[in-house]
Amino acid sequence: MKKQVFVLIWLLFLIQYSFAQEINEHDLLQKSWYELEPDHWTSTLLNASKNALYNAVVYNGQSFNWSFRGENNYVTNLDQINLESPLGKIKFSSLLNGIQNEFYKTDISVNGAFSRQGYNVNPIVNYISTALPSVLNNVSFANAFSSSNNTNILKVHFNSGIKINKLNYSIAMVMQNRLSEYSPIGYKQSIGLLYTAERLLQNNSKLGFSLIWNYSNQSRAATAVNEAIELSGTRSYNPSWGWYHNKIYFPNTRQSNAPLFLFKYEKKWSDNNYIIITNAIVVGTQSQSGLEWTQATDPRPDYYRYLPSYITDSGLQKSLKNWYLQHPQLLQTNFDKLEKTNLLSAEKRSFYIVSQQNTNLLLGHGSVTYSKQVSSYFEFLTGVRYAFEKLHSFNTIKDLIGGTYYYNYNNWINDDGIATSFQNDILNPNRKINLNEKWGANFFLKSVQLQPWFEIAHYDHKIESHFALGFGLQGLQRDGLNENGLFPANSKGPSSIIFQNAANFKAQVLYKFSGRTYLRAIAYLQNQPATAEATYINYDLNAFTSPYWSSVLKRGIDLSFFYRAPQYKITASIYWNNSFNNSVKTFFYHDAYAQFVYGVIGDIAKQNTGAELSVETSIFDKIQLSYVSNYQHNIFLNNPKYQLLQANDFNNVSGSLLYLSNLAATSIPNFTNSLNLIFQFNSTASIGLDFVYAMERAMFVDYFRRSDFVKTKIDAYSWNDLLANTYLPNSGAINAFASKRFMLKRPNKLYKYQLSISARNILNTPIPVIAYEQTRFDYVHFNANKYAPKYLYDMGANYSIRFQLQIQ
Amino acid sequence: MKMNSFFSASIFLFVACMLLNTACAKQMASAASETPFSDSITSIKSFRKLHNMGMVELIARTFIIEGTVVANDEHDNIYKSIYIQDKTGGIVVQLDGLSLYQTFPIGALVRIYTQNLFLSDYRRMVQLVASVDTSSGSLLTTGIPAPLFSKFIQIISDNNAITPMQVSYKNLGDSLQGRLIQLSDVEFSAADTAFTYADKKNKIGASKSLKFCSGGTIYLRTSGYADFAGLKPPKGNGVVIGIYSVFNSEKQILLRDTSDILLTGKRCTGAAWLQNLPQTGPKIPN
Repeated sequence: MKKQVFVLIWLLFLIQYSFAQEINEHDLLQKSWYELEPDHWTSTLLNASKNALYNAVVYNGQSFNWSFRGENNYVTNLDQINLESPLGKIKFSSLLNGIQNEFYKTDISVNGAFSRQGYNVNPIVNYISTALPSVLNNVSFANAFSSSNNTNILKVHFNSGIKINKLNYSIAMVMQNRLSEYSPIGYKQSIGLLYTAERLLQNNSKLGFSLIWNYSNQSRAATAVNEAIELSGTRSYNPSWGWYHNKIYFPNTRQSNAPLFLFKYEKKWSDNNYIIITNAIVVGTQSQSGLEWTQATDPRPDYYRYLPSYITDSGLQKSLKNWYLQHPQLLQTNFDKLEKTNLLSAEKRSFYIVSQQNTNLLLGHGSVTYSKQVSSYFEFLTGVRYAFEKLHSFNTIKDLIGGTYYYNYNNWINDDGIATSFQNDILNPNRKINLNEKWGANFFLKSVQLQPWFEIAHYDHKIESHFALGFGLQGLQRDGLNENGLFPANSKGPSSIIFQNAANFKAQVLYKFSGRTYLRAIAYLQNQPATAEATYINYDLNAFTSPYWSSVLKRGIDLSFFYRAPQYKITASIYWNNSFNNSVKTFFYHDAYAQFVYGVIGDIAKQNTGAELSVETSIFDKIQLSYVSNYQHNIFLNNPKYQLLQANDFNNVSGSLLYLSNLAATSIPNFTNSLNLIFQFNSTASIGLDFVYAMERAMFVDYFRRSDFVKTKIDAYSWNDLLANTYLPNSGAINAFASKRFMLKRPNKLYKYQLSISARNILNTPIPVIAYEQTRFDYVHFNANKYAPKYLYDMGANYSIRFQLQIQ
Repeated sequence: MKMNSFFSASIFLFVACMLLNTACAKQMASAASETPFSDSITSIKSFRKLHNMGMVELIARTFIIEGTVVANDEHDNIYKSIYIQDKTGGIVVQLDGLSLYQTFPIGALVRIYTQNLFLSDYRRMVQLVASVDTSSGSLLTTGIPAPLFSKFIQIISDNNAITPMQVSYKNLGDSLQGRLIQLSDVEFSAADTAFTYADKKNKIGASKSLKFCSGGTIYLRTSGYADFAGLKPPKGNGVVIGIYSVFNSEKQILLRDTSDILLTGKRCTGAAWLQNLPQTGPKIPN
């Protein structure tokens, strides 16, 4: 007992020295990333899921922006509950951040393959479950540290084991801590809690309750142009932080504090006859902060006008370059200077503030799934998924940076000389906002969803087939709490409810050549309602709908071959997915019109085709080998329509066609290979090597510069350049790990230790995690380099060490 | 034995984690101190003498000038430049930045390290610039880039008092360029008071005749971007404060703000002008 207490104290002490392999989030692209398990980043057969390709993508794809079939790797399904939201502002991944690796991962469904989880319309479904992870009573501790960003992570997991007529439960807690001084991506504090309780009842039924709660507060990184990155001398350059009173200050942050309560009832008459009812409620807040300014110099240190390339005089350019090299602190924001500006103004009016965007969440998601075996050949499944969501979005002032107030003005308008235009609240004009008070947009977004579905499954010794139909009804509504100066007549109060229908069909046939060889075909057709983001032009201001809002039509087929033998697992797939009526919306400053505009694109057709191969085998019983090859081609199929709408009144400035046909629709590499070798010395020790190589990776394109407006004003050579993809350099990485386990037997207890060491990107290859063309473009002189592409680079070579103790 | 193994393993792992963490804790670069500056000050009057009108001079030596900011871009009548003056003279300094008034507010005492900058003139108005380009056939100048402000300019103190120099028409001359001056007994020509300072709608600048009661005219130049460009000049007589400027042979004055205009007396044009001169001087804002 003394020893256990000692171990616990020791591990708690080490909380400051552990690690999480974390991935940055870039707010401009609004991408979220799969949080990686620190010690399992190398795919191994030891922990292989049913899909080796998916493993390779999840564990190696981050650096290369390699995602699975053009889809995100998010967790999308929790205990039959669909975690996707039509309101767009919710990040379920943040609710699970840090704790999601403690869940039981049940399945990964590709291209809509039918699974035991019930019918799901999404092409890629990543299922997790709150099911208890082990039938045995145990407690485990893990502590890890990495050199990449100096994050510490401590995990504690207790599992009561499973016994009938007892309350069985599992508690997992994950604490992460990263100090800003030691990482260019800044600080992170996170506590994740997963509590699951189940009671098995005697009539083959089960009651369950889960609490999933992640409280996190972390800084965010930002992308930068290559010029600034080179001047900084580090690929980890992050322009979003600065110096304030001789300390590091991060204005760009993200917070999440929204517990999820899940209630589950399951009744099983047999394996194929059951009903599962699951309901979840989320109550809490998600927020993010950033620097805002008005009527003041751009404070961003990497603003294009501050970089040497902006200066035409070569002598002055060289002088500035040398100045930056001698004074690297100039490449970070000088908050002391911003504070001085605020302090020196009349009445200490703040021209610079840190603003916080808050979203209060009230979400209810649920599902009912019923399965009935009609005969030994037929199974009938039906169910319904339902959701209601209510979001309250508003801004608060997090930091006045030395000032005393900030005017409640909208900075993102075109100055029309009308004093009321820039008022965020014309019923309370020129209001001075103090610290922590609300300002700016203030509104509710609400949605309801109802999705019944039916499925018939047929099984025999040669063929397994599934046919499913789904329907859907979705309602969206905005309810404004402010009457803003731009749209006084229709910014306040509830809008009319927008109802949209959905329908989808999916079929799957699996033909069994033998017990080892299978052929599977999937076809689907979907009609998905538009999200709030696609429906409204700007729901911050009012409920005017976008000129191109429409439900998205998707269709596709998938043909896969499987070979399963004791020594080999081979999977080969080809697929073809099309989607139509997609829309994109961007807000940016248009140099030619010298004003802010909304760029809205509609009727976008995209195609996602590809071929995949994965081979898993063992050599000499000691070496386990996994090879994955992936070719995917994600392109625009057409030249879609677009409109530029004035920021002040949504009136059309111009519009025609965008020449996007055949351009890359994603920044995913076209061709990716991964080879994973694991040498298993014995049952307790192993080492592994992993090689990844990505080719033909296009940069994210800016759509609006490929317009008629530009076509008529530049020469044919430059225009052809614009119509061609810009590819990033082909790049590869080598990763390695070593793992050793040992056990100590004590009376009535078994101690299992595991120590693992891993190294990523051993060759220190510079790999852009994100690369994109800026939306701002030189529409006056058409200098393609004026607003250069922005990048976020992988941190390069780094290692991690992890120790785990499990007591049974 | 098992006990010993347990503790040995524990201590080994603890020490390993501590060492790894210590080895990796790379402190990021700390904020560097200000650039060291030397202290040999040249008067602005002497400094201006380095310039030959119509020519461009590279400041190769370490000339340092010091002056108080007397005008900036706060009201958008001045663009990408500030005006500084000392007891001997004034000069316009081109800066490639916006909202300069927040960094260089009126009353700020600044020291400028002029080495590698250029002296030039625009229509005979002497200016300090960062680069010159004559490749297009005409002289194009660039202000000091914003990131280099801290290299060339040091802010010594804020809120220094400024007293405009009272000047009569006959004393207006190039030695006053860039200085804050006060003109008394002046009024706008009657025709000019019917129109705004400039064309704010089309962003076109304009000059208005400002007449001395004692005879003589100076032109009040206003940018179309000035926030007061759409206002009409007052019709009265009195005092005008501004920056003395020239446009070739034309004598001009630049307003910083309309509070620099104190034309509340009766006009001097006509028989009664002598009885309506202001009796006391205006209050001068810092």
